[in-house]
Amino acid sequence: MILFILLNFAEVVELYNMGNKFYAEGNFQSAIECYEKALTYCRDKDLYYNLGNAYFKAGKLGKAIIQYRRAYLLCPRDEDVFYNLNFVRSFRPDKLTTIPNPFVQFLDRFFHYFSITESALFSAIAFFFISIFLSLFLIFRRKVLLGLMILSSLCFFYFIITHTLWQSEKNSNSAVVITDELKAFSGPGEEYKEILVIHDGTEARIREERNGYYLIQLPGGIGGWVRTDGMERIFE
Amino acid sequence: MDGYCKSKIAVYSLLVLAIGCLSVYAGELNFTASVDRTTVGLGETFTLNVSVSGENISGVPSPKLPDLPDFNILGRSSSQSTSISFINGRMTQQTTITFIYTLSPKKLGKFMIGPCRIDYQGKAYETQPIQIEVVKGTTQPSPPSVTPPRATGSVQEGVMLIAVPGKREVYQGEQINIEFYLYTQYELDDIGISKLPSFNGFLSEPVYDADQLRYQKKVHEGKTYYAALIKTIALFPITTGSLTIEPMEIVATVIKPPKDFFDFFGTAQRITIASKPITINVLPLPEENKPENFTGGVGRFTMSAKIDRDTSAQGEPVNLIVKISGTGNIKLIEKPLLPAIPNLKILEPEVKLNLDKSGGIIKGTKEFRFPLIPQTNGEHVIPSFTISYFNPQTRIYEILKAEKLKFIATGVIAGQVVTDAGGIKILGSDIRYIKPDKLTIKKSDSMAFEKLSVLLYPFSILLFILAFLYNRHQMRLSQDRAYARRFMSGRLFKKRFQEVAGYLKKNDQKNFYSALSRAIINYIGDRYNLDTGALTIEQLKHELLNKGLKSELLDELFEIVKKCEMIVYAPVSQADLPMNELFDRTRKLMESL
Repeated sequence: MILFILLNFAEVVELYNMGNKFYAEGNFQSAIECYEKALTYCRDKDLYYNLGNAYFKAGKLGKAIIQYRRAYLLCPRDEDVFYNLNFVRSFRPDKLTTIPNPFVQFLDRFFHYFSITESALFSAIAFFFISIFLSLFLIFRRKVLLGLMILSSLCFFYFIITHTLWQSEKNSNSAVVITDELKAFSGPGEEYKEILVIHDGTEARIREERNGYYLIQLPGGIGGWVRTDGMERIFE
Repeated sequence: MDGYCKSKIAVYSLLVLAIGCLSVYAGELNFTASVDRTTVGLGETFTLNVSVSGENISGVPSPKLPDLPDFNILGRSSSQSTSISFINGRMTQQTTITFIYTLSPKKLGKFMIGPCRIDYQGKAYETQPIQIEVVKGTTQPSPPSVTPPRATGSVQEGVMLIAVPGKREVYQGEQINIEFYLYTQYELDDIGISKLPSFNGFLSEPVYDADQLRYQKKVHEGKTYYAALIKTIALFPITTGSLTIEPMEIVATVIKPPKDFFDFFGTAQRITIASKPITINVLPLPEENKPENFTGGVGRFTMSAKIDRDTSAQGEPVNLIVKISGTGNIKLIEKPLLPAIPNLKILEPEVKLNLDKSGGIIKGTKEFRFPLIPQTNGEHVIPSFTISYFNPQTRIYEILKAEKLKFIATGVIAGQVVTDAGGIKILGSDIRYIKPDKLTIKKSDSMAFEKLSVLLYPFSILLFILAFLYNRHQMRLSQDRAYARRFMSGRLFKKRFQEVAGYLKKNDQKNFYSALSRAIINYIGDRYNLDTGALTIEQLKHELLNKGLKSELLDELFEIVKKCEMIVYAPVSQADLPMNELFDRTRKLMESL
């Protein structure tokens, strides 16, 4: 661990490029190691993306989905990330019957155009512009200034909604199944009744943690207690 | 959507039911045995095929073979094939299981393979017995082989290789066999082919290769030779005109008998023998009456066409299987030209070829499997189509016709992307590739960014508050006279006081005092919104006391005013206070006011 902390930039880049080389050779396990090491030092969306690819090629759907979602948070406009995330999701053994509503999908894309950092910055800037135009309006009493103020407040609302959505997503305790098969029990322990079996790559929300078990909830509302080592949180 | 699903389920369950019924009532089995040949050479092998066919016979046991004391069973295997066909809307599933036994005879003579038995669903089936004749040597009908004598003198003219074409004149695409015979007058040993001709302009297919030479006495140009067939090659000309078959060369060792007592074993000589080149005249196929649907077949063929299923759900492809079989240049036959069918996409066919070379004549079957993709729901009809081939015997083009076929498509989604036969072919899909190598990686400092942006909020709010205060101030200036006067009082007093300072510098006593008193009175009037012109000094003092000002301060102030007025209106030559002192006192007072 100490070794990784001592890494400097050049070494991170070298690790990344080395991972790419292993990936090209088809040695996905070594590629994963390289990318993971590099990620202990810095968060980069390309690193997450390539790691996701390597995990998928190594047959680990859940791990791949986690990496793509992390990359998506950093750069939601990257088409490759979005494409691969959906591609890998289609391989999951658990098919959840959620009907995709085109309007909801559109809104989702619309409010995920800017990343969490961008939306934070831009909402602050938009707020600043609101105050400037409002101040100028109070002084000069020009209708144009009022219009500009309304425009910047619309921008502000857009960015603040985007940011809030990202924040809630980050804080939603989303986690992904990373083992091939995971049993869910009615209570935190093997002795309780088995109620569900979920598989690699299934995304769920963690509601509670108790003695080595997570209480998870699937999108359909069903859920149960699963061992903590079977799931990994997307955002720590 | 739901209704559609239900109807689909209904169709499937009906289908399952139909199959179930068929299996219940399927009683009849077809049980046959056959051998690949009835005359077998001792030491050769032959196969016994026992096939069971019927509808739904998955549970059929292996047949019981009769006792075969005169044969060795060298191997056994089985193969299974199923064909499903719809006849008048009824589905029949025909399964054939073939058990293949490889046998070899133990001794010469005529033997019987007794009936094979099978018990199935309480019924016993038997096959017809088969007679096998076991002969000496091979089964190729040939007179007994003779051995040529050993060489005596010169050997070169005693050995020949002769290429014998079946015909000298053939049509393009017609089969012609070339047989290579070795003619020798002496015993040869260690014979091998050293050079094979390239057969330019032909498609060649080896038909026979001698693994053991079988000599027969033949007279050639007045001399007696021992002749043996070495190789037979079937050729199909692919160009026309006069084509030459190059010589084939073989090497052999001639064994000479010992010349005398000391030449104990005799001598061996290695020789090379070449055949003469031969010319074949290839006639072009007649252009007259050449049909458009000619696909290059020369020989005698039959054609059958069928589709592998009668219904297609969800746009699944239906395969149209066109089988062309017969003798001739089967290898060179091209795919049949299918007519364009509306609402049906015909993809490139998958081609399978099966050749049989026994007997020196190339026979075979070529199967074209065309995937048909329905573009619309409903019945699709594949119209009757024809192909033609050239029959070199009758020298005319003959036409083969396939019957009309139809199938029903359901669940085709309109506008479904179907890859075109000649265009883009989507073979599969994968994740997108990794991002390229980098020179640097930016350390993401999003946290610092966020903190910086948060600072903008209080700054913006502050800005707004200032603007609001300014706005209120401006409003009061325009609406509240007292506020406006008070706001301006300080600035006006400063201006007037500067005027006073100017008089002081010039030592203009008269103007100094009047300006000073005016500055003070006007300031008080502005500051407290009082009409100074209409009030006496006493009244003014009273008003100011009411506003909460300190009386000592007022006393001192009005004392200055009074003094000033006294000097202005009653010109006493000398004031008791010098101008300087009065000016400073006024300034101090005003600062504390």
